[in-house]
Amino acid sequence: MTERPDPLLAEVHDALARVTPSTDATAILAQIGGRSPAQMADVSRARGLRAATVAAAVVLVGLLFAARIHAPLPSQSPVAAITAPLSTTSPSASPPSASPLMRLAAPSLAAAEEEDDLTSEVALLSAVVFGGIR
Amino acid sequence: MRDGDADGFAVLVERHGPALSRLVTGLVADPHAADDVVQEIWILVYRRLDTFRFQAPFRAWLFRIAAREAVTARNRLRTLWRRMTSTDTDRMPASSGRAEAAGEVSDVLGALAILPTSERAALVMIAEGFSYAEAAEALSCPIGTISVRVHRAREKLARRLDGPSTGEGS
Repeated sequence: MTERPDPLLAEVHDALARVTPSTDATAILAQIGGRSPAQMADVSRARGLRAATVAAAVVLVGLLFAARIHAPLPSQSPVAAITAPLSTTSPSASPPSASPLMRLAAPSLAAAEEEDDLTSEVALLSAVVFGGIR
Repeated sequence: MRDGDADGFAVLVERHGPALSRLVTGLVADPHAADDVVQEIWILVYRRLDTFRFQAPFRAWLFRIAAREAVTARNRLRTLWRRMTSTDTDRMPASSGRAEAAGEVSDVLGALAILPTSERAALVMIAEGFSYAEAAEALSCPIGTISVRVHRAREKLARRLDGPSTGEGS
């Protein structure tokens, strides 16, 4: 500690003293809540772990959606499945092995099943991660 | 105390609280923000009490933590200020402090607020009665650097307040 003979520094000190709110030890102790330093550290670690878990879940969900978006498309689109037999069919051509309606339905059903799997997986993950930390 | 004696901790808060609050207010340059930062610092100190080795005075240890946290808080506020105003400057007005303070106090706080953080930190620590060596340790820089920063800060502050004669003993 040194003396403060400097009037400018004294002025700074006085100005700060006048605007500084009084220290409320009660409020600080209330935030501590009677926990020991070790318990406070545990709380801090738990908060960090929780934040990391949530972040990991968000990343995982994002990756799942990204994988869903970039999944390979069916080799034949439903539109092509309808139009192809109509444009190529001739009286001499052999009948198609499946009806246009079945061709339309097959890839759509596969996609729907895949989407259902992904949706339920995301929902399950969300329930585990977000539900588990409450 | 290190086992979590709340009464003992309250004594520490009462003993060092006012000086710590003044230091943080000076560093953060915003009384409202300083209030929150002070609470965060005390909680941090309480959590780290088991790392205190009794090799240095508690006050020095406490203010080293406080200075680091306050400078970090100040930089955080400054970043926020830059984003809000899209200005690339170290200067951030101490709006709430200036609004509450009157007259000379307002002038001093306003002048403090426009100093670079490093210079303000050095000046406030010396104004709070710390030695240059203590300030250097708390702010993690050489004593010579503290000396230069205080000198520059004094000049700017004096120029801003009452002209060059202020602070020269007048």
